[in-house]
Amino acid sequence: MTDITKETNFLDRMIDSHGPMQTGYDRVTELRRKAADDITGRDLPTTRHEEWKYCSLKKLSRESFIPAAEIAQPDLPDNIADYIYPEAEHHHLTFINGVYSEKWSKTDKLPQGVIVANLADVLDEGNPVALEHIGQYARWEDDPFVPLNTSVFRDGAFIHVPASVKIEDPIQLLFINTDEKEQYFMTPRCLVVGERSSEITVVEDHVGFGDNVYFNAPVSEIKLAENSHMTHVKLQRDSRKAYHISRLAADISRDSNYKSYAVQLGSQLSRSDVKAVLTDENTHATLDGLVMVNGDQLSDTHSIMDHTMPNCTSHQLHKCIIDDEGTSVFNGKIFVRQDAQKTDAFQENRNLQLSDSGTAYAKPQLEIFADDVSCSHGATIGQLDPDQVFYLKTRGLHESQTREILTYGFALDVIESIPVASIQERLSKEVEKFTKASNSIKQLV
Amino acid sequence: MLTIKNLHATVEGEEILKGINLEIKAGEIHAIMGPNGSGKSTLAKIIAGHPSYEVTRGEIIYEGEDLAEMDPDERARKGVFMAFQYPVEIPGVSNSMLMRESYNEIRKEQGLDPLDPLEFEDYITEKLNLVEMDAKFLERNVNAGFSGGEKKRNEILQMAVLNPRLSLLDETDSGLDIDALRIVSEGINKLSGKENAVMLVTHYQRILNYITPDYVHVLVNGQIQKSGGKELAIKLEEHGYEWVTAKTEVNGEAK
Amino acid sequence: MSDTQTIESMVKQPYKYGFKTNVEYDYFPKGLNEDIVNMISDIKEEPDFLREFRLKAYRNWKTMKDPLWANINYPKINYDDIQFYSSPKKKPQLDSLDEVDPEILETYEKLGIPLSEQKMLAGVAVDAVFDSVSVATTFKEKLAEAGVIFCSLSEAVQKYPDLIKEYMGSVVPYNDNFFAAMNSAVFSDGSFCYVPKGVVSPMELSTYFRINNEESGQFERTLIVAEEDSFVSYLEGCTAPMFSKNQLHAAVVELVALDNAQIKYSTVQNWYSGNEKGVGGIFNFVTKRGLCKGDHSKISWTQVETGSAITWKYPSVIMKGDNSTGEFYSVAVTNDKMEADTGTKMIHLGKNTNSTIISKGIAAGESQNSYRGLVKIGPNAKNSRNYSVCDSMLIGDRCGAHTFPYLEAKNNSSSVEHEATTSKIGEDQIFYLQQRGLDEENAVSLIINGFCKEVFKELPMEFAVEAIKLLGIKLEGSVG
Repeated sequence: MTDITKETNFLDRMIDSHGPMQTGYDRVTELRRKAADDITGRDLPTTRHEEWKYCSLKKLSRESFIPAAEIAQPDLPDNIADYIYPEAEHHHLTFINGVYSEKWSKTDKLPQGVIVANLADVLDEGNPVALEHIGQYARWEDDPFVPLNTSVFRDGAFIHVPASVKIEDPIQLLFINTDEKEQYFMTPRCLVVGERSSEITVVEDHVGFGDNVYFNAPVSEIKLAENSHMTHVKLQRDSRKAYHISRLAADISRDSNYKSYAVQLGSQLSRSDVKAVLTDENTHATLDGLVMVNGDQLSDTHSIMDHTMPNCTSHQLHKCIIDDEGTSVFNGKIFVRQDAQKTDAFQENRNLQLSDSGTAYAKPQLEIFADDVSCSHGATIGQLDPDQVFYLKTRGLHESQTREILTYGFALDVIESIPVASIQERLSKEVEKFTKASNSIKQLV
Repeated sequence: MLTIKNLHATVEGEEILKGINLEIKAGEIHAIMGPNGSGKSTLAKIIAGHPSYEVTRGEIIYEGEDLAEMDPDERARKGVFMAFQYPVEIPGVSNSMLMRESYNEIRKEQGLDPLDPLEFEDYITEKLNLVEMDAKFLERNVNAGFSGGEKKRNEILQMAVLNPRLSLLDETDSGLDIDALRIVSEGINKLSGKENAVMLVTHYQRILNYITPDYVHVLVNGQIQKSGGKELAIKLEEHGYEWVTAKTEVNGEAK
Repeated sequence: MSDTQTIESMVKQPYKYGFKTNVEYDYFPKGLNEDIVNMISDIKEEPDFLREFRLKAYRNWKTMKDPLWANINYPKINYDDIQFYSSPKKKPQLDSLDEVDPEILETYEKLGIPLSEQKMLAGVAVDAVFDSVSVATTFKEKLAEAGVIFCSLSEAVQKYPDLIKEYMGSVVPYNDNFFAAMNSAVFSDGSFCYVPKGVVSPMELSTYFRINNEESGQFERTLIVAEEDSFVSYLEGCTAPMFSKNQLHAAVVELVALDNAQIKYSTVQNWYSGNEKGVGGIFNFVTKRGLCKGDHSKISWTQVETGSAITWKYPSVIMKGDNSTGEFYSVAVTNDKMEADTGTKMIHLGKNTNSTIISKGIAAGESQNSYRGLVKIGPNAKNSRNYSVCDSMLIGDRCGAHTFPYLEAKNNSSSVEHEATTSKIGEDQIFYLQQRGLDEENAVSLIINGFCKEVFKELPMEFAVEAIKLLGIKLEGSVG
């Protein structure tokens, strides 16, 4: 088995297909070189790796992809504008198959000094903030996907919010992935730097337009300076045959507050690794998630909440709805380091199994090295509450209706905490679509 | 019974008490009143020996002994009882077990034999009636899942069981509804006598409708600004604490 | 002295069972190879099937590696430097206590496990295992009247080979894991218990394990079979002398419960844990597993783990029978440089199966205390339930508490619920109890016993008393 993988080493193929990436700046060149060295000759992790125990990449390793930029004329849908959230009307960046599209991007009405631009351009210009922060935060032990992205990324988003600036409306980063015959892959990169006392909301939206196979491997890095606030919404609605393997790292300074809401809807295989490092006192982090899988989808979320200093709080509510043969995996680690006294950390993972053949894996993990802390986690795997189902039926609803309503209710608290109205609407529709399509619910009619 | 002389105390370096003088004799009830943050709860905690507070000057003499050198449990065994403002929850430890342990420690101190569980049950049953509590409370874990009122009643039950010489009641009345307040107050009244004394720390005059203090002291900004009889409490209720503060400032300037 | 310091000083206390008994041994060469395995089989005059079992296990073990996934750190064990078999030189006469070496009997008395029947607490039958060999089994006749077989495993191999052949390795296969394979190759002795159909064992059964020899490992094996409608409660206690070298303990316990049978297995483990610098102590690598083979059967593990330098132990239940039940109650205390990675696996295969996990970890000193548990609900385990609680308590700021639960569910009529909290003994709690007249030591021990209560109440009475005493001793000492 391993021989097959070796013969056709996936990571090498990915890097080779791109050819050498040049930038004029040593910092980036060095970063790329190191990343490429790091993974050359290495294999994709297998299910024997603890971190990949429930997420097999065997199928991915047998696929072949060309760099998305080689697709000369992507099969563009005509309704791209519909995918811009009204709140982000004035500032959004659009990427088509990972390539920045000036035509579909707009950065009007931004406060003075704010930069929202294509990362490749910013790095080519030698923007000192971008050069300083790129590659500083997305670090995972023994992980091939950050180096893969780092060694070949070009386009992506760069957002820089100067001190004390608040951007009222969300900034949308729209990643459109078109329906092509060729299997392509892309490595979008985002870097957001919020200076002292800044405030921003970023919506990262990955949309697949077809039913085609492609491989999306984005990496996002967030740096929040003192007393800054960021809300980060990520929607993954890639094609149902896509592979989506993403990395998100946030480095949070004193008195800052980072809130991340990640929603996984698309892809045959999605793997999302999220890491929040609370680097100083009185920082707060939220890593909420909503996952809906059906068909033969697998969605795997691995998170790290890293408390390094005293008096910080963290909150994590991760919900999964599993239908058909779908599989959800959650591994949430909370680290409380020795200096992180008075930490208050909360984590809850709830899994709702609608079908009899779905699978839920949950591994909440507390690792605590400080004694004066209050940490708790809970994890449940279960079904809709039969008492609630019965109650609604006594009110005249059909079995299927009651299940639709209750499933919707299950997802609602994550959706409601996302502070962008049109995303809440969008997600409500997605849940409705999911429950209406559910065979397990239909069977009950 | 208790003599406090020029007591200064700090918590985390900040001075909370700035020279308290107080004399409590057996048979007396003293009410300590004052606005939030005046240091009145601190005073009770220091007498009980809370480790977070540091006495920087002055002394507390109880029954002729300096309390400063004693651990909280020694003080308790010598008859100092504190009813907590926020009674602590202790999972897995039943109420009756704690009270029996505690009561027997105090008996040991007095040179008496400990009571066995059966004897103790008889003893505690009569005390339960005093605070109108059901025997079921005894089997529950200490304060775990108790309502606010139940916790306070539980404190008074413990007071009844331990039969202290000096009771420090730290805002035992706050947050109670009228019924609970009546039960708690009646319990306190029944328990006070010629041999023991009560120091009642409170923010509100309301409890004094049920318990008649011999002395009322107004504590503001770490000092007793005014002392008097029951009528002082009524005046405070009418005019608020500003009345005392305003007056002191005038006095201060006049000096 | 701050509360933390006081608590820490209370937790440090000398190990009471650290004496060594001078007994002459039949020495075995160190290291492990096929000859050694054959020698063990020869000494024990074992039937061929058992020799084959050992050799197969050995050959498998040769191809396996030390498991490294657990959250524990220990120096690489040199298996060539371990004596895999050790027995006191005087061959124990299993039929009569009079012929057991008096020094050994005295050792057990010192441990508080008097073997002479007249001194026995009524109602507990004891099988004592000294290093690798069972030295005495008490109350045999009384048990025999009820039809319960309780004897050393070596004796069982001779007397009941069919039962051994049928059940040994049926729950923990010879190649299950590195340490189980090693045990299967070299196990020396252990206890065997067989409760026939419809019999409720008239007394608690107990094994007392003692490692005495500095160079030897201990590799005992326990097998308990409860036939239909039977019940047995089994207790296990462990101690070892203090040596500056580490000793290896790799045991296997297998339980089989048939229809409507119930097995309750309780352990109080107090192996020597090394000194406060982490020198010496037992490496405890144990595979314990129960199979609820029959419908409506029930297996319940209760453990109080207070010793060993390294603990690697996951008493598990496979619920194969419909409506069967698995339970795991655990208190694990670590201090100084101890490291424990312990928990359970609840494997639900049958319908309407139920499992409960209550785990309480207490970490002090510079120790690391990890809970690791797997709850697996198979596709056919319809309407199954699991409920888990893992609470950790930290004493001092140099220790660590870790929780690694794995939950896997593969059908939509089952539910898995897991909760975990971490807290410390609060200053406020201690002050409150002190204000009620309890001294600091007493206050801390009351809080800890309260924290562990749900587990202690699962222990048989004598054992609960023992466990509370043991925690008390752990907390005894140098206040102020």
